[in-house]
Amino acid sequence: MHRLLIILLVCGMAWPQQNINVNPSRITRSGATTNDLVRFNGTNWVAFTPPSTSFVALSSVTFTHNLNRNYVKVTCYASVTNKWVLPAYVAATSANVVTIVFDDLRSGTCSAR
Amino acid sequence: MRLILAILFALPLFAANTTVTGTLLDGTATPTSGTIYINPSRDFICQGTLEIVNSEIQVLVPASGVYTVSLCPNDTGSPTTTYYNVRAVLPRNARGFTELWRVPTSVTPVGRSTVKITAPPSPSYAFSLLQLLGGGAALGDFLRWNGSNWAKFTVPTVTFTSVTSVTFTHNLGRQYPVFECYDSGNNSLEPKSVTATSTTVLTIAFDSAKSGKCTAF
Repeated sequence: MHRLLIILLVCGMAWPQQNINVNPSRITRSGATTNDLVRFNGTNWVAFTPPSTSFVALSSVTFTHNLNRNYVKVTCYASVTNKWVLPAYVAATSANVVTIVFDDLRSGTCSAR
Repeated sequence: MRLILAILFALPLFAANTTVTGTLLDGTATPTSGTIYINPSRDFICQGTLEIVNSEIQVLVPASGVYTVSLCPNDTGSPTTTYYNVRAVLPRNARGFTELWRVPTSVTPVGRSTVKITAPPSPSYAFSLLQLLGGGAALGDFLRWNGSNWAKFTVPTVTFTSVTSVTFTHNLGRQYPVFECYDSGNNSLEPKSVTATSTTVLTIAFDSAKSGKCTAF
């Protein structure tokens, strides 16, 4: 064991790592706003605001959600009334974009998960 | 022999020590002799020399005040957050100084203003997710910023029995969440209407009395 430690030190490696447990409450805010979640962005775990888009008087909405998944759940609400609106259809355009089509001109907000 | 070769190949090309130069001045800005005591903040491995830096270095400064000292750079040492505690003692009761130096890797000499720091560097740690404690989380929970801390977050669900309207307090903090409802047979259930009442409440109505669950996210 002693020899192994010496070899590690001579090889210029770091001090042996301590296996420290971390409480989530000790993680710094890292740019998060309230109700943000944590998501892996390909490099790091980062704060993530669930995507939504607002629109005014459109019959077709191109929603860039950046969820990196082709098939997402979309829910839309009308402005003013805040009532749920069912689109005519939602097309999974790409892993980051859905195209939401309504029967007529709509104003409101859509969310994707 | 193989072990020696393996070790030699494992060695990256490390930088050498960095030379720190300066002039020791007394209270009247006149060069003065003195002694500078330099101590590492803690033991660390010098990647340039592969030695453990753990002892005091004394620099005897001549009357010209000019000093030159070769120090292991802190930025490539292990751990990386070390620095030096530096104390200068001047003769004839002249006032010396105590300060912190963090020495960068440099092939050319650096001055005191380059190495002087006002506070020790903050430690930087890397953790595996496996080292993150549960914090009271249940299976399937997420981590969410609650305004003060990162804390467990359970996807909200409301259960209802024989109702035509459900006030679903989801506490998501967002007015327009995605939702889904299921009947008591676990089949998808389409509401008659859903109103995003506030950032914490959805009001869900059915065309007849229904039992089941709704979730929002």
